[in-house]
Amino acid sequence: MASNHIGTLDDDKWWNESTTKGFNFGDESDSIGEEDSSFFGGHHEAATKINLELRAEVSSLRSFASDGSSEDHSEIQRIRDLPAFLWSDTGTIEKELEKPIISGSAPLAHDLISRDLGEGRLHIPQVDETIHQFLISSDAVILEPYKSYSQKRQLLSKAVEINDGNAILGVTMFLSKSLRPSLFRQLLMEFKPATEHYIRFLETRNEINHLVDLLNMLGRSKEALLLRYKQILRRAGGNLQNLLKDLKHFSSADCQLSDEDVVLFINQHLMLLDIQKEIKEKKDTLFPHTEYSSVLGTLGFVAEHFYENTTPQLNVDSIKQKFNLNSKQYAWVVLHALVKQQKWPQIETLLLTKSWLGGTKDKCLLPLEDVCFSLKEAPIDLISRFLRLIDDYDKRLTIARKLKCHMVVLDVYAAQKDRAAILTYRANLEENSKEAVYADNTLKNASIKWKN
Amino acid sequence: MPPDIGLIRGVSRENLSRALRLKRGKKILIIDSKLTATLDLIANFRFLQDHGVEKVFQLEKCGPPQPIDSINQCLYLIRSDLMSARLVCDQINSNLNRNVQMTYGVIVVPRLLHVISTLFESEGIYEHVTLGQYAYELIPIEDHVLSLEFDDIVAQLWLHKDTSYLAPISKALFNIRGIYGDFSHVVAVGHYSQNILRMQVEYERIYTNNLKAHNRQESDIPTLIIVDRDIDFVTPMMIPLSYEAVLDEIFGIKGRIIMLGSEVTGKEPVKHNIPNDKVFEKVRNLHFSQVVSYLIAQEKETRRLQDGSAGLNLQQMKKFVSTDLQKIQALKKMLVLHFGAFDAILHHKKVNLKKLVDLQDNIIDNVDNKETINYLEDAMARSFDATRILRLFCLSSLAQDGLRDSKNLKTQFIQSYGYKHLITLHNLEKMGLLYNFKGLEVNAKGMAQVVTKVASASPFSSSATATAVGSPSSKTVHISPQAILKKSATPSNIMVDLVTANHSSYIFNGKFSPFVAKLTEEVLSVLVAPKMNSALAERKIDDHLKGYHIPEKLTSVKFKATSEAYGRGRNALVFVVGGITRGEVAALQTIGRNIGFNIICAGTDITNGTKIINLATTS
Repeated sequence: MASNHIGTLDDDKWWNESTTKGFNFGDESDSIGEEDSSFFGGHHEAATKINLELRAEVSSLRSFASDGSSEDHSEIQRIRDLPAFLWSDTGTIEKELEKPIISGSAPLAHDLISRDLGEGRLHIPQVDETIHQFLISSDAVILEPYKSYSQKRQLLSKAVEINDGNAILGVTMFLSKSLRPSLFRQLLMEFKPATEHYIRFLETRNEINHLVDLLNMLGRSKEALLLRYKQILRRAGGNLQNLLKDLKHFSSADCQLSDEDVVLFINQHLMLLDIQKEIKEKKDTLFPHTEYSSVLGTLGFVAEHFYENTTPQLNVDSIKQKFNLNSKQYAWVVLHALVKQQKWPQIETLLLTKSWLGGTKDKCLLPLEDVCFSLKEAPIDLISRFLRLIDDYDKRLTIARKLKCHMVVLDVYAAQKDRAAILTYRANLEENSKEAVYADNTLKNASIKWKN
Repeated sequence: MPPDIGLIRGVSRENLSRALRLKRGKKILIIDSKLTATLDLIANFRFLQDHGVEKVFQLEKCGPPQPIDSINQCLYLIRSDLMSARLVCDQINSNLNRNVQMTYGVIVVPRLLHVISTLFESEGIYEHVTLGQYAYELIPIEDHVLSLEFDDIVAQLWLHKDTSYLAPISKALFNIRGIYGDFSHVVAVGHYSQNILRMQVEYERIYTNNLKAHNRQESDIPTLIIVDRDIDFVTPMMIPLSYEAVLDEIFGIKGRIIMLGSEVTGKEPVKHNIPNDKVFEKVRNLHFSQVVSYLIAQEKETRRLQDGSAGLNLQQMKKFVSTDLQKIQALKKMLVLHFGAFDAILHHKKVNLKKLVDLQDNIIDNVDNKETINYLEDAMARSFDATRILRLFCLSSLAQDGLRDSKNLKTQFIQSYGYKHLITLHNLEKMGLLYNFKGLEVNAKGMAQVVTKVASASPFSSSATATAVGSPSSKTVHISPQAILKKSATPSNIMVDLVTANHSSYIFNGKFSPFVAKLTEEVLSVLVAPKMNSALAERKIDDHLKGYHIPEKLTSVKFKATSEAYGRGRNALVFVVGGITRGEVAALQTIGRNIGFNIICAGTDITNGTKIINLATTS
């Protein structure tokens, strides 16, 4: 039963009730092109048809869940015969202080060591055995008896040698407490894995100041900067004011002397925040700056709300210059904003450039195919204009058919002198529509030498 | 004969029940939400109930526990992660302050770290908790796929360089030896794989008596091939084209469940359970282009079966309705689902599979680089899915000796997706997945670069061979993804047939095989070769490894000297440290089929490029 599954506890109801009644493929009309169909196996149309038939037949889908298989007895016996080191008794250490470990419950060598603590002389366990205790994650590792520097060093060396993170970090922390900072640092420098584990530990403990110092000492200033930056982002949460304040301080205090290229980006981020602040002041205080947190996001917002604005701050062109955006980035973002506002005439000005010396053909900044699809909702004339710029007839035809730009389709057929194709296409057009009339006129055109 | 996978399942359960006994009697269980799916693969809710669990809460969502119906024992099940441990401390402290009378047990999965017990000590609540640990065995996701479900292992090992998960990996493999017998042949490639073998020696010392008492002559799984993910990061960055892998790429597969969204089902999303799907069993390894033909054929077959009922008499009809019809209906439901999935993939709004496959093929072939850059620029300007973009960045870096025009591309990425991704890009660099192009860029503005590079490359400086910052060079030993790719390319004398999937490279349209698959093929071929003694076999495999230009320090080949031919069962375990991909599983199955082996595919988790990139991404 599904309800037996732990991971699906929340979903029980959902699971049992979930039914599948039919499939919705949305718009069936946009079938895939010729070239695609070989890639996808070539049976796509047939598959869709069958699927439609099938979905009428299948009414509901019951919930499925495998129930936990019952273990048979022979298996239990075979499991019992397996070696003892598989069983976790040794790992599950009873260790409430009231009941100390009963000696003998774990018959392993490592548990027989160093129990005579506290009576006179300390018994110093072998380095190997201590590391073994770390390896099996025993909770009873005792490091305090290691007083001499050479033994401490030996411990770390062994931990690093077998590369067990538990041992490395355990020993490193012990060393940080029991050695003077300069000695400790010396060991860190010598044993790189120890450094890495210590760094990770400080980061999870959120001891950022300490960590930044350490990274700088190690010459990893880029990481130090990014760490601070990350901390600032996290601390500010969604608050623009705080982020701006903290980042400004950071930029003037920590970034000044650094020649890392991240500083460049951090300063740009500041610039962007200034623009976002401006938007909040001008437009409305509810500007969702976290949603538009990127440069292009902000550009899109400005293009959508301040397109005609010419004030130096909130102006698409000034943003383009400030962040040194290329024409592609600019054109795509502004195009989407203009489509949203249905500012169709502006789109032509945005995308089309007259070719040299007043040539008749326009040039488009962006890939025409994608532009045409972006203009799905635009007036048909505008789409047609872009469609006609596609040189490849077949490509133009496929897209024009998908976007239902009938005139363009007819023109392509006419150019290919394909009378039969026009006749077939004509049959699907609405009688007396502009397009139908256009088709008829094309067919009557005496200057075309039809091939069929 | 394949090994009895039920055994490891049994061991995992037995140890879970021991762990749950940390608090005897009735108790409340509070579980780290990242563990629920994993636990689900090991035991069901009834199992927990049988061990006294009355209620289950999620750690991140519930507040400090309260006694319920006089149950005042609380057992936490958390991952070995300092953050989760801190949450537990906070809850217990809060209860102590408010004088709530409860006792607490904390089970850490897979191991109780020293820092965690130290945390409990420093929080002053050490005497209030009983600490324990639970390490499950490799989890059989299916008969031929085992996983440790360590989902963030790539970040641990290659981003944070935290090696505390190596011991659980090594112990899991040590336990495999305990359950199925010792390995006779071990081939390991990669830094961490060497560490894992090294730890085996330590475990042997720790459990020496135990091992002796349990010496088995014959092994069910004589061969272990273990490889680090970073030897081949190219493969996960690629979209593999087996049907299962594509489903995973588009919808996501977790454990044994495919998450099918409303675009497939037409209504609410469905958690589709793989073991119940007979159709999936048949199509999962097909090349994506072959799936529809199969589905159509199946549909015709069910139609034929159903039509067979036409001439039946009443009695026969009754039987038909009660038995066959149900089966046919169930089959049909599955067919509908897969037709739906196929259709959804074709018309997916966010992932243009065809385009992405074309791009990755071009990157591998090192052709049309300008077009690739053009696509990336457009895609970023249009704010397409950031993870896909980064996968292509990384694929280019690895397959082409660095990302071309990387300064511009990285700037544009940050401008499109936000400045916080400065950290993401840095993380990818640190993991060795992203680095600047090291060759000479030949384009208009590249000329100046060429001149300066030539000028600075004096014969005495090492700068000509020095690698970019953040490239794998930081590890002091170099792996060349390009050299590995070159050796893994499909040999020219092999005709890869996508219909029959006759070669492991079919998942990449016949271009190359994943490294782990290629290596496995080489190792197993040597093992089954006649008149091969262990010394000779070792040398042969060493020779193969040399062809990949992997530093010797990172490889080891150890065969036991036995006179016997390859052991019974012809089973081999292939393990990827850092996660195995579904494409690799499909490729390894092809190899197993071709040379007559049962290959068990295993990893620290089942992974894909998106998962890896997301681990590096700042939220």
